[in-house]
Formats: sequence, C-alpha cells, structure tokens
Amino acid sequence: MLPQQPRRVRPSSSSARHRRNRALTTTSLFICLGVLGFLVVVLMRTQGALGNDLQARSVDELGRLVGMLSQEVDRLQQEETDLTIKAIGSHYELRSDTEVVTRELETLKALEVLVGAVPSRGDGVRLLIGDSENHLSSYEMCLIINELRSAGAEAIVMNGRRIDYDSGIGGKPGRLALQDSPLVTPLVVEVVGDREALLSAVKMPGGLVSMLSQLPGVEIDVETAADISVPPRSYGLRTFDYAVPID
Amino acid sequence: MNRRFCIPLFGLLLGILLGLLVRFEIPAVYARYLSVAVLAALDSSFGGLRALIERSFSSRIFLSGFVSNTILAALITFLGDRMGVNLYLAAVVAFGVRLFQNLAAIRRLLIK
Repeated sequence: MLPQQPRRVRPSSSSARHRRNRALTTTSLFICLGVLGFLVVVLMRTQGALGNDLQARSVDELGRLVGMLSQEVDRLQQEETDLTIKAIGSHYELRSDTEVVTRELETLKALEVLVGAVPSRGDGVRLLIGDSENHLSSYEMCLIINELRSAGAEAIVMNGRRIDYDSGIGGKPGRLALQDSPLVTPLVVEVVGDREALLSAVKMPGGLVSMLSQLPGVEIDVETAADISVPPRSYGLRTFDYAVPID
Repeated sequence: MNRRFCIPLFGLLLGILLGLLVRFEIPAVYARYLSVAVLAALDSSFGGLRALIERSFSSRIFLSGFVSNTILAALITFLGDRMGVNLYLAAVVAFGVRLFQNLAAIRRLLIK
C-alpha cells in the first residue's frame, strides 16, 4: 500500500472567487481613481490655461458676453460723444477767451492812444494856419478841433503839443493859450487819420478851410503829412474819483 | 487603513502625480466636455467607495458605470451644444446631487 501522500488542501472555489473579486475590485478602483486623478489635474491645467478663452464658453455665455460688450460699446460711444462735445465746447470757450483778451488788448491800446498815455505816430494831414491880424479866438480853435475830430482825426497835435480829451483852449485873440501855454501863430496843426477823409472834410465847401478863410488875415494851408509824431500826454493821466465804470 | 482603501488611494495619488508630471492639455473646445466627464467620474468613484464600504461593491457595475457615465456626460454636453440646449446642466445637476448623496452615505458609514 502506497504511503498516503499528504493531501494538498485546494482552496475552495468560493474563497478563490472572493480573492479574485477583491483583486479585481482593488485593481478597478486603482485604475479608475488613477484615471480620475489624472483627468482632474489635466482639467485644472486646461482651465487654468484657458482663462478667458472664448472657445471654452458656451453659446449662451458668448451671447451674454456679446450683449455686455455691445452695451459697453454703446456706453463708450456715448462717452466719446460727450467728451467730443465737451472738447469742442472747451475749444470754443478757449478761443472765445483768447478773442476777448485780444479785443481787450486792442481796446487798451486804443485807449492808451486816445488818452495820450503812450506816444503815437501815423500818417495824416498838416494844417498851417496864419493869423496876421489876430482874429482867431478860442471859438475858432474849438471849431477847428471839432471839425477835425468829426472828420475822423485820431490824434491832433497843435504846435507840437497834443490835444487831449480834456485840453482846454482859452485866452483872447492874439493871446491864445492851450492848457495855460501860449499858442503862437502861425499854428501848425498836425492831424493823424485818414488823409483822404480829412482833406475832403476840411476842403469841402462850408468846411474848415472856407470858414476860416472868411476871417480877415487868416490863411490856411492844408497838406498831407507822413509819419506824424504825437507826443504823450505831458501832465500825466487823470485819475477819476467820482466817475466809475458801470459793469 | 485597510488595504482595500490604500491601493485605490495610491492609484488616485499616482494619477495626480502623472498628471502633474505629464504636461498634457486638451484642446479648449473639449474642456467643457471633460469637465462634465470628470464630474461623472467623481460621482462613480464616490459611488464605488460607498459600495466598497457597504461591502456591496461590484467591479463590473463600477467599471461599467464609470465608463458609461463619463462618456454619456460628455456626449450629453456635446449634444446640448449642437442642439443649442444646455443639456450639460442636467448632467451637472444629476451627478452633483448623487455626489452629495454618496458623500453623505460615506460619512454616515464611516461614523458608524
């Protein structure tokens, strides 16, 4: 009788199946969770790289985005229009300010010439008035000045002295005085202004020449003059204590 | 920790490590599909963990669910894009709800 071999205990079919199932379970979970971990990392990297990539957005999101962008474009266009209008307004305002300053400067210069604050020069006419019989009175002198101013005289110089807005001529015939300074004949009256206008005004019938010529001993000669020098006011600018400008 | 959990967790860590080491990126147009697919895969994984804890795990069910849910989620998203309907929302809601249910069940089982 053969010695009995020790019988190898074969695992039961149920325990083997159990082990196989456990191995399969572990393996399947291992693989699936591994895949899941890999996909999660890939997804995170992809999303991080995408950022605001439009390709990753849905149609609705893109539609909303387009709507928002359209509204933003409208807002920016409106803002651009407002800014353009504001810029144009500022430009005109600036130009207007510049024009005002320019006008004010021109007015100031005109006033300086008018009041004699500054010396001036210009073309005009020269009147040589002789009075051999001393018939010229302060009345005629005022008449001369008024006629010349009416003819457009911008500045009048009489015997080298400026006729200001507040100049006064007085005295008796033959002893006339301009601001207390004697006016000796022949008078040299230099007038700055439009030559043609001045000449036609003083020479017109019934004008200054014909009027003064009627006086005995009075001779008047009129000629054009270039570059007449007008001295400034000799006794300073007048200060106004009572008359104030109205704003 | 039981070996049943250690090996799958090791697989998860290995997958993450592999993803970090391999500089792989998918095209931007497929990013949304992958997002929903990953959500489905997460749902299946948590479902598998729950079944594992409840000792009712079936590798066939798990694998079939993992693959089919993942593919179906991506497919639904693709179809939704083609149809102009946000079908991916349905997948997100369904998988999201199941995900939280599985998490709650796992929490209860672990506490017990």
